[in-house]
Amino acid sequence: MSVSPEAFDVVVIGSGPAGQKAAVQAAKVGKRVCLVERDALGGACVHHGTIPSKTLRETAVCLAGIRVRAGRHIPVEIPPELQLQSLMDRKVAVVEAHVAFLSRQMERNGIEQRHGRARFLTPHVVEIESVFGDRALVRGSTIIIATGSRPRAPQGIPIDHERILDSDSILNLSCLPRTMTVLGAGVLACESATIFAALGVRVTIVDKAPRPLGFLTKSIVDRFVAAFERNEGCVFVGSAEAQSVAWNGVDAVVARLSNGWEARSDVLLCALGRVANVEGLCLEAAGLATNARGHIPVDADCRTSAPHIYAVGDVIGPPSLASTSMEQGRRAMRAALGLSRVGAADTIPSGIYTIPEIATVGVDADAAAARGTECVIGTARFDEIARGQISACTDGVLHLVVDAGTRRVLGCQILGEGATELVHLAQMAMSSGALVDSFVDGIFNFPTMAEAYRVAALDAVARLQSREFSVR
Amino acid sequence: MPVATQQELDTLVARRLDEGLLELPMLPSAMTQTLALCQSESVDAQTLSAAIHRDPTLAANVLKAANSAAFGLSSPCASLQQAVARLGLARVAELALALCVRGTVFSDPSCRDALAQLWRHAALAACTAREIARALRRNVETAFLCGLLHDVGKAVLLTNLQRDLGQGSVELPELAGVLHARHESAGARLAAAWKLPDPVAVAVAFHHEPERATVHAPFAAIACLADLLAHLVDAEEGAELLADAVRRHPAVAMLNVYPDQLQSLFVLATKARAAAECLA
Ligand SMILES: Cc1cc2nc3c(=O)[nH]c(=O)nc-3n(C[C@H](O)[C@H](O)[C@H](O)COP(=O)(O)OP(=O)(O)OC[C@H]3O[C@@H](n4cnc5c(N)ncnc54)[C@H](O)[C@@H]3O)c2cc1C
Repeated sequence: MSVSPEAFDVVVIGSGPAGQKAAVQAAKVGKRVCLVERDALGGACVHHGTIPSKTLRETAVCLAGIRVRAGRHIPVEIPPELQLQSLMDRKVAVVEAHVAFLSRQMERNGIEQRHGRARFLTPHVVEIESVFGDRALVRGSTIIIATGSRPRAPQGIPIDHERILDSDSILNLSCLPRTMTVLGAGVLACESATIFAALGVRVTIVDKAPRPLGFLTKSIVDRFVAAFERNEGCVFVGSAEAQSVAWNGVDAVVARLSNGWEARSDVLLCALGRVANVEGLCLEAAGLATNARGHIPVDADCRTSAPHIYAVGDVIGPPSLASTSMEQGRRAMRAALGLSRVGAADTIPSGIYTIPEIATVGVDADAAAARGTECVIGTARFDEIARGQISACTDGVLHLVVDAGTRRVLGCQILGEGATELVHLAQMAMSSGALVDSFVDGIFNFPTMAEAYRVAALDAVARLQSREFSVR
Repeated sequence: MPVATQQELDTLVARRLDEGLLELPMLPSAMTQTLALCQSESVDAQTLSAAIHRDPTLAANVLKAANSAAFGLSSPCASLQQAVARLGLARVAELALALCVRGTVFSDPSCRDALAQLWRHAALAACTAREIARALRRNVETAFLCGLLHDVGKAVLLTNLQRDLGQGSVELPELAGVLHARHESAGARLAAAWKLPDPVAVAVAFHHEPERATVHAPFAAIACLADLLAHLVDAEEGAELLADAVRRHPAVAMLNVYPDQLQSLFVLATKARAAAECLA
């Protein structure tokens, strides 16, 4: 006996940022939507990633801030037996509030939620297995795959989630270790490394590249490494890989490195990338396959090789950010429904929540040069800004990339506290086609970090003038 | 002939619980210290072995457990320091903690057999909870404590009842009903008196209905699942019925454990037996 599947206009698999936005977009135009989630509503972002890590970060930044601003008078010591969870007191409340908000949003939009694991039976039919093993079928005219990613577990690294951890388990440590080795120097590795460093842990970052965060402007990365290494006992070891990792059975995790060094620490964080969640989806039943990196290949509208199936978020690979995942979800859905797509892909900022923060939007000098665009760079150092001095956030810099011909803002790179908020001013300037002069003419509050834009713009304008002068 | 009817037993227990007459064992100082050490990264072999040596019986038992075959050491350890060097600090601290609990709560000679039976279950649940936590990326040490202490209320009630009724008057099967009904509240009293970490206290109080826990619910659910799996591993008869009950249990849904994953957890629970036997 075969049961005929329940029919929906749209079936979304995965309720992370990418899936949510796709589901809401479809529901807003009156489509009947089914959202399937195997775990808790909200995805990795809410439960293992962004929200918990940012809650811990907030505490670390506050403690570090008090140390710099008043440490001579108010001693800030973290007792060794302090539970790591106590530094994330707000986490449970924040996660609950967010899940409740999401849940209301889904209900308000009439989105049908199903709790279970989804897999393709045919290109249009998806089977949902409940946690108790019951099975149900749904049929979608359009299907969105938004199943996210999980930490990669490289061969030969015995992750036990007790001493050798990954980015999912690191935040469940009982207490602060004294020392930590971090394998990998991507965004998540650097975020964790600097958060723990700010909490007083001696952190060693090991990566096979000569510098961390290889996709960023070199001068920004150099400053970042210098800031990281100013924490006591913290070092970045580049051009080296771990050849073996093992707990010595007593008191240390030992990583033997390709450069002959040995890194010993209380705990080790393995942050060597993430893999797409595709196993168990039975992609082949939908006629789909993954590429060499294990991601689902898609076109600019996130459409897969099956015309009615789209893939969005971490499952299609970098940049693997919550913000881009949301935009992909919305964009794919609009494409599927034949709605207009206002594309602003090059004005999506990236935020890296290291301590200090890093944010970028648009192009840097090298990327502009590669495009053949002549540009000038205006720079502001945070120690030149009154607010930077007041807040003791002098460890920062803002680069404004300006088209030498049109005077338009092409990009911005910021390192320093508040970078992830500050970057949006450049983003707005870019998307409205504003000229660099608007930052000079505009009046900002004083004292604020936003003044860095004025300082950088003045620098850029001065450079433009001297160029014109020399050209003449 | 039973000395007391179920009704009378219930009245006795209710009186103890409701009138504040429940006798709770004192938190041993060796346990306070070991608990603190377990939660601190800055502990070394010497500090730990010194803490354990404060209680010579405990020290001897830890060494015995460390040497027990299941740990697979080729030659026996002669000292605690050596045990630490071979098993690692965390494992030895955990052993010490477990044996401390056994010595304090599970060792009243007047009901030794019944307590020993409860203890075997506690040890297996602890080792099972640890593996569940590892699989679900939760804190492993906290889960161990949740499993170890989930039924501590039963031991407390048993010891109290024994005082009311006199030695050897009742057997575990006759008490099962009343112990089951009241052990979560008795355990919660002990957890409060001993100031156990919050997730552990929640697991002790809510391990039969983890969905009622308002905070730390995942640890209540882990204790619940560990309890069920430990019973399943030990069940000689009725394993099928129990297995069905586990498959449909709300804890399984709370932790999002799918049938195939549940099967793997069951295998891990079977393997945890060896580790649990060292504590027994
Ligand atoms: C530690 C950490 C910190 C981060 N910090 C930031 C940050 O500060 N800023 C930022 O922008 N990004 C951050 N990210 C990245 C961000 O979390 C991800 O890019 C984002 O969550 C991806 O969204 P998604 O919807 O693609 O996938 P996910 O959020 O991973 O959601 C996918 C969902 O699909 C479900 N699923 C998978 N397979 C199935 C199936 N077969 N059936 C049903 N459901 C299924 C999963 O259970 C999951 O809930 C961070 C990530 C981590 C790990």
